[in-house]
Parts: sequence; C-alpha cells; structure tokens
Amino acid sequence: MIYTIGEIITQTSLKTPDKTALIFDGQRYSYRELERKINQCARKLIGQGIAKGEKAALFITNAPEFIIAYFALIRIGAVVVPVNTQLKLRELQYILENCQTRMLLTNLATDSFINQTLPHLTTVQQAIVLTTDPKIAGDGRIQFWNLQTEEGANDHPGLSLIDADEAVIIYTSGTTGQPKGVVLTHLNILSNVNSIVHYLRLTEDDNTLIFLPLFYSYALSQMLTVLRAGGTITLMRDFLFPQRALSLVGQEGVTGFGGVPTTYNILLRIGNLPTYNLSSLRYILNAGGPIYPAIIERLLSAFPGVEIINNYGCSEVAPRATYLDFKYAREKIGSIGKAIPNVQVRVLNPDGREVVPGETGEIVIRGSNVMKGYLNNPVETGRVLQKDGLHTGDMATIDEDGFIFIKGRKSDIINCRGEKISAKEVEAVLISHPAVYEAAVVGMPDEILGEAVKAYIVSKDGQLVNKEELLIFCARNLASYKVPKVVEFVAQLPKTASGKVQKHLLK
Amino acid sequence: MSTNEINIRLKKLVAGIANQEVSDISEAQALKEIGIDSIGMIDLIGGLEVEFGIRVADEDVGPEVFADMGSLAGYIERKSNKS
Repeated sequence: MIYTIGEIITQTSLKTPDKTALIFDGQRYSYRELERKINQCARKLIGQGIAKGEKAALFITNAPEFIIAYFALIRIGAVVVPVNTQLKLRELQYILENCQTRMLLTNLATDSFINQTLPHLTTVQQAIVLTTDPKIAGDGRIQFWNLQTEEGANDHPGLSLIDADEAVIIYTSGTTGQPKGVVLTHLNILSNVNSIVHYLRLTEDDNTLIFLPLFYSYALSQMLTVLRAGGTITLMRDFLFPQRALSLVGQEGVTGFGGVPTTYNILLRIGNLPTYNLSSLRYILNAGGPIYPAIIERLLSAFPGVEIINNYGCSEVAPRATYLDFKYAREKIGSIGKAIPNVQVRVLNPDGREVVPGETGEIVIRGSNVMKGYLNNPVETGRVLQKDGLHTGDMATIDEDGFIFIKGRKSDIINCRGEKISAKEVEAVLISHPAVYEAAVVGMPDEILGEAVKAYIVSKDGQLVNKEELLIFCARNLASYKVPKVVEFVAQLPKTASGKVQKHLLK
Repeated sequence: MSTNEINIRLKKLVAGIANQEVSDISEAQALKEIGIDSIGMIDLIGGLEVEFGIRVADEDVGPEVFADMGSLAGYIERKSNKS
C-alpha cells in the first residue's frame, strides 16, 4: 500500500530496479535510473529553497525531463502546476498569476521563450530551463540544468507527506471565460490510479504508448497508471506523425495507448494501417470527449482483437469516472459505461433524484478521486461541489441496464479534439479586435475535431474586417486549438427580449 | 516550377493553415514552431496535393520531410520533378 504519488517509482525501483520504466527516442531508462535522476533533481530543488506546499509550474513538452521534474517536485511536497505549452503569453500570464508560482521549469530553450515570453512572466522569480544544450543567454532569473548528466546526491529526500496533501493543480476551461485551477491531493490522484490499474488489468508486462501531451490530466493519468503497475512507458514528443506511433507499437511491444476522438479520426485515415505490426496491442482507450458510434465501429474493424474502451471523466475527478467494459463495446456502443471501481456516478434530475431510463439529468460523481476544490475560487467550488457530489455539468441519460449515455453540456463549453474551450474566452478576444462590435462563439460538429469553434461576428458600423486578419489576431492571443475554424459575418445576433444571445439558434 | 515559386506558394499555404502572416514565416523555421499540429498536418498534406499536384505517400509523412519549411520545399521540388 502506498499513500503518496512519489512512492510509485520508489516502490518498483526497489522491487525490479533493472526493469525499463521509460523509452524515449530509442533511449531506455530503468526504474533505478529514473529513481536516481528524480532524487538528484529533488535535492537540487530543495537547494533552491522550494518548500513543501509551494507551487511550481511545469511548462514542459513530452520528454523524460517532464517525468523527472514532476516526481521530483511531488517528492519534496511541492504542488505541481502542469501548463499547456501551446498557450500564448496572455493565457500563460493569467495561470501563473492565479496560482502565484515563483518557480517555473521548462524545456523550451528557445530564444522566443527565454527572451520574449519569460521577461513578461513577472511572478516567476526562478526559471529553470531543462536542456542538454544551454546556448541562449537569458536574464538573472534563469538557470540551466541538464537532468541527463547531472551528478550529485541521489538519496531519497525523505520528506514526510500524507495523502491529504495537495499534489497537483490542473487548469481547466471555466464557463466564466477564465481557466480554473483544479486542486488535487495525493489521495485524489492515487485512488484514481489504483481504480484504473484494476479495471484495465495493468501489470508489469504492460507497455503504454503516450503521445498526448503530459500536461493533460488524461496523459498524466496514463503515465502514473503504467508506472504504478510497474510497466513501461513508451513516450512520444507529440502526435504530429501518427505513422510513427503505429511503428512504435511493433518495435517496442506496446500493449495499449490512449487517445481522444480526434486521434482516432486521424489514425483511421492512414491508408496502410493493416501493414503495421500491432500484434502486441491489447487495448485502446478513448477519453476526452464523446466519440461517434461509427468511429468505434471502424476502430473495432481496424484493430481486430484489441479491446476498444470508451471512458469518461474530467480533471475534477483526477480524471476518470466511468468506462465501458469491452464486453459491451458493440451492445452498448456510444455509451460511456458505468462507474469505475471505488467511484459513484449517478445521473440526477433537477429534483436531485436519479433519472429513469430515457430521462435526461446531470452526471454527479462521488469518490475519493473528487478534487479538493478550485484554487482561490470558493464561488465556483461551491457551485459544483455539493452535498450529493461533484456536479459535472454534463447531461446524460441511462438505459434500462444502467449504462450512461452523454447528451450534451449544461454550460457554454466547446469540446474540440479533447480540449475544453470556453466560448466566453474566445468571444472576449474577438471583441477586443477594433473592428468587431459583437461576437458569439458556438461549437459545430466536425468530422475530425468532434466539435469545431465557430464564430459569428457583427462588425462595427462602416468597418471592414476580413476573416484572415481576424484569425491571425486570434492566433496571437489564443492557443491554436481555440482559434475559430469557421467565421461567419452577420448583421445581428439573435437575442432574447432581455438581450441574451440565443446560441441554440446559431448551432 | 522554380525553387523560389515553391517557397512562395508553400509559405502562403502554411500561413493560411497556421493563421500566421506570410512575412512571419522563414525557410529555416520548424513546422511545429509555426503552429502546425497534428490537425494542421492533415490540412497541410491535403493542401500540398491540391496546391502542387503531388501525392504524399504515408511513408513520407515523417520528421525527415516535415521537419521545417526548407525540407518540405525540397521534397515538393523532388516530387514535382518526378511527375
């Protein structure tokens, strides 16, 4: 039994030290080696004066440095804030100011990040750039660390932590337009990890391919579950070249991977899919958004003998809540299944009673995986964390056998390729353009993305604005996945008598 | 098609997909740095086929060809000369 996240690797490094924990770019790291690098990094961080409970931002793309820095911080009791590396300056500033981090760790050793972005991150007092090639000079706040070759004390820092201690803060899109920091404790995360290991039947023989960014709660969960089982991670930088993911399955004996619906829309477009050696593959997970039944059908045909498992969750539940057991994959196609072990998932109507088959209600979750709350946001915390559990805002029905089917969301959130986007945030950027009078943003069905961002624009009297100019403006202020795919110029937006935009008429 | 013409048309195509100004894109720039992600890659492959009339084989979709603007322009030139 372990009680804190940091013990995950320590435990396996004692039991099977030579077992491969991580494969990245053909390089292999044993559990012993990873444990040593984590302890070295932890010792160096203590040397920087970082204290228990202090927050540190990880702005790191997929690389061993992410895993080492994550566990090192966790092990010394710091609270890790993984940040999406696609965010633009304005978005990054908000998050770092919201959680008041004085330390940022990154592997973006580029001139543009160090000399153009970092100077604007005023809360950051210490920036640690994790690189093997420190060529770029920066200001006095910057240190360059090479975690691959560092030597020094590598014994366990041995700090006393308990499961109720805060471990991670994940930022997620909020309905009010600004992201909210989901505070998760060691218990929240570990209890979810244990449930997932159990229902996926993960063992030390498993090798999980991770290509989703590790700053996502979903990919972090994949990382932790396979390490908890004593298995191996095959890590990719990204999913830019999906053919490489398929090649790695055969090369490294990958037993499973997880993707979002967009992942599968992309994979199924690869013409020579049947020529890849996928014989080691045991399971494929979908999460991050609803997947069309037709895509599941195609996956079942394209990956014969592989368990296709649809899942549901959100960052607030660290992050998994339900799964559809593969034995029901065809019979209950389109369902997110039932609660994972040790979690209660109910669909409640507005009266607080469980819905009957055919009736729509809200998904409400209880369990030790449910977050502590939103950082510095008691109003939003109180709104979603109620006596009967976490109110997710996701609307669903159940069938006569108790299987859950998602029907939509209560709030103004768009789910694009597994990323939740606040319509209000995109609207705020559009309206800040000098030629835009009003903007309304909605999600529209998209074959690849699941939902794409569509913007309706009313321009200011007499002002001309073209679509390209508006999109470039958005791309400078928003991460690329939030930039509208479709822009439509209209004379006015449909509104109620009280002036509220009737978005249902725009969908 | 001349090398110069390929570079100009490629920059325009990539700028449109990544919502960037053509003038902000250089020939040495990595596609990822410009903002081409896995979704952009699909649009880019489709765009190459329409814009340059070349067929991009699955096995060519990798970091060697799609590393940066220069490597991609070189690939287009080789494919164009073959057809």
